[in-house]
Parts: sequence; structure tokens; C-alpha cells
Amino acid sequence: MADKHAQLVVLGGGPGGYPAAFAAADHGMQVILVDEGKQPGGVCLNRGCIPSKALLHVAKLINESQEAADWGVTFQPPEIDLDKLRDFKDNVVGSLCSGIEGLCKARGVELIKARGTFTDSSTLELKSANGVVSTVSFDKCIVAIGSIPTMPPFFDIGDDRVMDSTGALELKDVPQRLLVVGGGYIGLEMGSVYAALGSEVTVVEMSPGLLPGADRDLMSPLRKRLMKQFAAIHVNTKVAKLAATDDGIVASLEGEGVEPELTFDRVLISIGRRPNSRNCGLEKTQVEVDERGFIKIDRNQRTADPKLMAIGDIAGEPMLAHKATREAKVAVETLLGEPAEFDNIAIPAVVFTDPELAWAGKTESEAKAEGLDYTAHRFPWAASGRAQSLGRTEGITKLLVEPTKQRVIGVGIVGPGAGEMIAEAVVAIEMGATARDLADSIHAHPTLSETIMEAAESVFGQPTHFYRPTRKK
Amino acid sequence: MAIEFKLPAVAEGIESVDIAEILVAEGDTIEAGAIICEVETDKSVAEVDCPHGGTIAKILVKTGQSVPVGTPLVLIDTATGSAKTPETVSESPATDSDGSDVTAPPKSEPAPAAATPNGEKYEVEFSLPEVAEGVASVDIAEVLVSVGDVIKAGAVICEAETDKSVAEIDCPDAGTIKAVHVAVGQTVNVGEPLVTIEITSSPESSTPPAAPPTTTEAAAAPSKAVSSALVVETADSSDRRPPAPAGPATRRMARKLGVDLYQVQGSAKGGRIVIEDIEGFVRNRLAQPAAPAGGSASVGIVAAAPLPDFSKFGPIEKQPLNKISRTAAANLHSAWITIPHVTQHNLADITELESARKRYVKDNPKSPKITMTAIMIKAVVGALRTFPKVNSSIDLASGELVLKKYYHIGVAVDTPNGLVVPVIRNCDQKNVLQVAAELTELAVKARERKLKIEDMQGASFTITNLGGIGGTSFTPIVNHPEVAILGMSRGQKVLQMEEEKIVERLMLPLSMSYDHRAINGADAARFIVKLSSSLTNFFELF
Repeated sequence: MADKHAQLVVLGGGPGGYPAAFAAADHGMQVILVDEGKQPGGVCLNRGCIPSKALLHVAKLINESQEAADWGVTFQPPEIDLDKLRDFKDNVVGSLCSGIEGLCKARGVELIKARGTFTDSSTLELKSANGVVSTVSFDKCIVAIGSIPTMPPFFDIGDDRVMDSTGALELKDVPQRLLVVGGGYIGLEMGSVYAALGSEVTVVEMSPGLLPGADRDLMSPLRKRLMKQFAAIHVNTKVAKLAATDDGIVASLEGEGVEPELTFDRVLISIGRRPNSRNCGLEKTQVEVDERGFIKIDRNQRTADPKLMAIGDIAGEPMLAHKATREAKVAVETLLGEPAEFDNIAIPAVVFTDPELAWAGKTESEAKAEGLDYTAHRFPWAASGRAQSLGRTEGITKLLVEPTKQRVIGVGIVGPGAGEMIAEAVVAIEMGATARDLADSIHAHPTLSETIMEAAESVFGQPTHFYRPTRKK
Repeated sequence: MAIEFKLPAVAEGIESVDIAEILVAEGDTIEAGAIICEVETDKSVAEVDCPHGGTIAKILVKTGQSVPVGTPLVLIDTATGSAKTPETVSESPATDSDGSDVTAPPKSEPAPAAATPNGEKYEVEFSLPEVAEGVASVDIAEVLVSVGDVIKAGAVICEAETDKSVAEIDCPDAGTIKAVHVAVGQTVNVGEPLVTIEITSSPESSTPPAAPPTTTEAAAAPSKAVSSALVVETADSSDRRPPAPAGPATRRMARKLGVDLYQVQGSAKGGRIVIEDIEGFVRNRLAQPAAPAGGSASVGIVAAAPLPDFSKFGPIEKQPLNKISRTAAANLHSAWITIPHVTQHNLADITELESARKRYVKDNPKSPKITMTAIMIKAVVGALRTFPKVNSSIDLASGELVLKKYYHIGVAVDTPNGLVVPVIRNCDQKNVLQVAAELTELAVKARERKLKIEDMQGASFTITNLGGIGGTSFTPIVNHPEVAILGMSRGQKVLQMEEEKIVERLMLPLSMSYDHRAINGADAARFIVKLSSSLTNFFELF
């Protein structure tokens, strides 16, 4: 007999796990939430989305204070109190995490801070930080155990100057020279933070471009700005070796036009994340795990084990918090026999650099690769009054439209605030909206959201603030 | 350039067709307006003609394939003249570039190329001209040519974005693109090179050689066509279909009710499905009578029991059902299980009518051939006027009988491809000669599969005549949404007592099936008696 029993155990307290636990409790289930962290919230709250956004906010403030010189407002160069900045970030994280603990109490969800390992399909062994071991059995379990940064062994040289994203968020110091290995969203976001704080940031990316997966035309304004913020960006370049010396970490680089050896004070490895499927006893259950380590699920989040469901990063790409939250709702509703299904068409992706880059639905490169019939409609922000007033005209709003019914199948936006703007695109795509729907809906003036309306206008005519001659046949 | 010619809308309401016959072959040169293929819709065959002239580069469909409207049928190379020779195609060096070679180092000097019999070749650079006053640089918004393309003078090379507008940059020279020096997103100053063009100075021809583009585009285009064909093929599996145009709440409701959204017609702008559409769909389905007692509780048509493996009993051959047969089978099944059928039989004395008909046909060889069917159409119209309920439809959803004030008579025609029912309109306004002429015309069209959808819509009553084949009586199935159908069998000679004498009479067996919900038995009997007597005392018909 296990020490405890619950109708539902949710394993993992991140943005997948805690919404699942809350939703189940709200529907009257008896729920235990098991999380191994000091405070619940998972990677997202503790060492991901939230702390990085707190720091990016500060980075943006620093950058804008410098740009203000062009508008006739000059500030003294900032003095950075790293301890205080770290406190600000930690307070943000702390208040959100304790908020979750409070919500657990309010809803009657029992939170157990321990690492859970499956001993069979209906039992978890729980080991708390102080070494106490107990067991809990369950009728059903939602597995939401997330992912961790990928750290290949040849980068793991046992020197704390080589960090992953967790280490970078700890903000131990502001290194003079920072190498960011991997030009994905984590590398660019953290690179932006350290660049604003004063580091000389070098980004090395193995593939031909930054942010593989994003459309190149949207990437272009971001790249131009990053080139100014960063000391160097090397694409098509590989880091062959890292070696610790007294002077710093010496990186051996392989790529065209790149110095073969460069020395850095710190190195951030941000080459991706991998699912946490190891060392948690999944092999003791009937769950099936694919070759990349993701638990295989159906459209209702059910796994091959009838007692287990999986959500979030552990259940497959894209590894995004908001995907996990939606999957949590689907999983719980499925348990309740509701007609839920993960049938979402648009999972928004947002890169919180400056400018922000966001997309939803199909990207243009996906549409091309899948051979879809589509037309692309770009509206340059130079024609937006709001963008002009912000002094930020480099943005682009792009609509991908299916030509027969002019249904919106994808939206990509680059520019300040793109991450907030993409919400409209998500609703439009999920609702099956047509370009006409977007063009005929009144958008507040003067806002950046007008660029979506104007891009939609260009699907069947000319947008008000931009003129594109029709192509001669 | 290569054009994908897609299946146009064949007729209103037709979403997909079967490819009956493909009339072109790869490599054929066709003129604009040429017929590409014949397609079968529910009840007719239509010819699909192509507005583009050129060479058929690839055929993208197969005979027998069911394709939705909008499916690419063929890939047509419109640029090729008839002068294209296989040699130039195979020699062309352009195939080794897919146009992505935008990073090729710019050639700063015009470099003379080898002279050819056609004329001298040389390369020039085309640089960014002044786009607008005061504009020193532009961003390249789109590059419209790639290496290997053959362009005409005035072709648009790229789109360039300035702060407030997009300008098309056209090139005054004709020739082959040898290098593209700019990429999308790049900022280019006025005067900087955009492309390198190889120009052939050919005094007799101002148009560039046509072969290279054929090669590149034909090589590139099929791969695109293949991938779109793949999409079509996998479109059946529910996961690969593009999402149905409905919001999350609507999709959820559909899931809850077990409604397949792909079967629901969206009523909102752009065909979007809203919750009301699902409600309407379900209400419609429920209005159809449920499966017979003892059957499953499922809505709609009951599925047939699975078939045994016949080959274990003896040799078999499998023949695919064509679209006409499949549609007919579904409609007949639906009518049979949803309409309570009664068949009323009678014998009509047509002794005098038949001899009068024969006499008329013999004496008037040039007049349209009066058949018994043509006469029956007129007789039926007369009886329908007397019994309007027989010329109706029953609307169970609204609880109404829809009485029709028009007399459109459908006539079942047996063709080698299956049963079709062309319709003769407004028979009350036509005399028997006009009806006979139209009937002959429609029968010919039916056999030649030339009937249009409109030719087969709108019947208010149907006649099916098996007299030419034989038989004494049969039970026709009502052609929904009509409520009655008249079957004619072979006329038979019978002996009758008349004023104490034995006389020979020619009797025509009539079998009328009707929807008992719309017509009661007495009315049906009165109808057939009235019909029969009008054939006997046929002066009523005129």
C-alpha cells in the first residue's frame, strides 16, 4: 500500500502541471500536485519565460534611454547595481511562485515538494529535498515533467563560466566578453540582456541563419538591429571545442571568416532543450517514448498507458508554456469526459528580442515547404503612424492568405510589441477569419494593430497608407 | 512560363468530379480552348477546355480519379513555341541551378561569351536605376527572377521598397539571367548591380530563345505539382486535411454532437461555419426518418452489412462503379428507405390510340416521331392538373406539402453508362409534337453523355418506360423529392367481351409508385384511372 492515494496526481508544477491540477480540482477531483522545485512554477516561472522577461524589460529600458538622445533627451549612462537587478528579477519570480502556492491552497490542491519517480503505472515514489521517501498511488496521473537545456558532453567542461540558460539568468556578473552558442530565441534573448548590461556579445549559430524556423523577411529587421547590439554574429559556424584557461574560456570556431580561436569571459550554451524523460521511471509504465525522448500522445493527451496522460514539453514540440497550458485543459476535460481535443490551428511563437518577432499559424517557409496555395501580404511599419511616433519603423506585418476564400492561414509580425499583437492573429486563424474580416474590423488609431488591418486590405485592394502597383502581366 | 491549369467549376453546386477521359498527352501542343479531359459529375459528362495554349508539360490526374474543383489537371508550358526541339532542352545548362544561387559573386565587367550560330552572346549587368526623386537606396522586397530565367525586355526583375511605396524594377534588356546579385531584405543603393544578363544579339529574332525557360520551369514546376498532388492524396485522412473553417467553440460543439465539420456548409463570410450551421445540419439530419426499427440508432442511411469474400466461392471480377452509378445507388437507397412506397397498377386500353399513333407516324415521316412516352407525358400532365397532390413534394421539416404550379416531366433514359433522367420543362405549354421532338433530342444527348446538370434538374413527376424491353409490371422507386413515378410496361393484346362479342384490345400496363405520405390510396387510384381513361378517350389530350 502506498502512503497516500489521489484520484489525480499531476507530476510537475510548471505551466502545464499547475493549470491541470487547478482545472481538475475546480471540477471536484481530489488532486495532488508533485513538484521537485523549491517553489512551484517549473522552468517557465523559475528559470525561463518570467525571469528572462524581467531582465529584457530592463534591457529595453537601457536601450531606449540611449536612443532618446536622437529625440533630444540625453540621459547619463546607466549605473547598474547587479544585486538590486537580481533582486528585482527574483522578487518577480518569488511573488508569482508564491501566488501559485496560494492558489493551490485556495483550490484544495495538495502540493508535495518532492521528486516523483514511477515505480509502476499507478504508483510514484516521492523523494523530498531532505531525503524523506514516501509513495503515492493514483487513479490517473498527468505527466508534466518538462524539459532541460541541452548540454552536450564536449561543452560540459566542468567550469562554471560555461553556463546554460539557467546559469545565465542567475546574473552572477556582467562578463566583458560573452559567447552565445546557438542563435535560437533563448540565445538571442539572453544575448540582448547581457549586451544591454554592457557585455560584448558574440553569437555563433551552426545553421545559415538566426532563429531557424522564422521567416527570413521577418528576421531581417531583427538581424539588422542585433548586428548593432552584438559585437559579432557568426552563422554557418560551429564551436568545435571549449577550453578553460585563466584568461577565459577559449572557443575553437569553425566557419568562414571567423577567427579560429577566441577567448570569452563566459559562454552561454543555448542550442536547444530536451525532454526530461530520463530517470523518472517511465520505463516502469506502459508509456511509449519516441527516439527524441518525447512521450507519445494522442489528440486528447492520452499516452499508451491507460492511467497516464502527458502534457507540455515532455509531450512534444513546440516546447512552449502556452501550448502546455492548453494541453492541460484538454487533458483534464478528457478525464471528465468532455468533448475536448487539442485541435488548435495556431500556436503562437514569440521571440522577446527588440524588436519582437512573433508568428502564428503557418510561416511562409512552412507554407512553401508544404506546397500550400497561398499569397503573402506585407505591410511595412514605415507606413504606420504609431510606428513612426515610436521611432521604430523597421517592423513588418505579414499575412498569409489562402487564395480562394481569402482565409488567413498565417501571420508573422516583427516590431516592438509584436508579441502582444499576435493574439489577434491567433483568434483570426482559429476562427477561420478571412482577410475581409480583419480589414472590415475597426482597429484603434493610432496603434500598431492597424498594420494587421492594412495588411488584410492589401489582400483584395490597396491599404490606405501604402501603395503597391499591381504587377504587369 | 508553366501554368497549372486547374479544374474549373463545372456546374453550380458540383464540388468534385470523376476524370472520365484524358484527351491530351504529355508533350502535346494545344491551342487555347482545347479540350483537356472529360469529367463525370453526378449525372452528366462535361468537357473541360483550357483557356491557355502551349505544350502539355505534365498531366497531374488519372482517369477514374475523383478530384475536387480547383485541383491542378495539367501543367502547361505557355512559353514554348512549336520550334522547341529536344536537343536544346537536353543541352541547356540551366537545369543545374534552381534559382537559389543568389550569393554568386557579382561580375563587374561585361564578359563576352562564346559566339553561337544564333548570334553573339555577351553579358551585361543591370543596376538599380533611380526609383524616385531623392531615393538613394531601396530594400529589395521580392526578387522575381532567378538564374537561368529567360526574360523579355521590360520584365520586372524585382520589387523594391522605399519608405512609402513599392516600385517594380524592370529591365530594358532581354536575355538569360546569369547571376542575381541581390536577395530579399537587402538594402541596395542606386547604381548597384541587381542581375547579370546574357544577351544574344540575334538580328532576325527579337524574342529570346525559348528552350531554357522550358527546362527550368518544367523541371521546377512538376516538383511543386507533385507536392500539391500529395496534399490532395492525403486530404482524406482526417489529420492531414486543412482545418475546417470554424472557431474553437464551434469545433467543440461539432465534436460533442459527432458532426463531421467537413460535411457542414458554412454560412458566415468566407464560408465560415458557425454554431447555427451545426444546429441546422443536425436538425436536417434528424428530420430524415430514423433507420428502420431494430436498426441502429444512427441518423441517416443505414450501412449495408459487410460482404463475404466471394472469391472463395468461385472466380470473380471487380468493376468500379462510375460516379453516375454511385450517385444513383445512394439516391435510390435513400428514397427506398425514407419513402413509404405503394405501387398502384392498372391496364389502360390504348387500342385506338396506338393505331392512331401508328397511322400518324406512317403518314408524317418528317414530323417528330410520336412515341407512346411522348403521348404519356401529355396524358400525365392532364391527370396532374386534376390531382395536384401528385405534382408535389412533402416538406416534413415544415410540415407542408409543396404543390407545384409547373409541369416538368422527367423521363428515365437507359444509357450504356447508367440511368439518367432528363427533364422536359413546362409540358403543359407544349403540344405532343414539341414534346416528342424534345424527347428525341434529350435521349440522344443522354446516350452521348452530353446532358448538362440543368437538363436533369427540376422534375415534378417522372416516367419510366420499359415497354420496349418487355415485362408485365414492376415497382418503380419514387425519384425524391417528387412524390410519384409512373412505370410503363409492354402493351399486351387481350380478348374482351364487348356487347356479347369477343374483341381484341391492346392494353398498356401502368404501374405508379407513390409516396404514401403525400398521396392517399384513393387519390392514387383515381389518378391512374383518370390517366388510363384519357388514353382510351384520347380526345381529352388535345
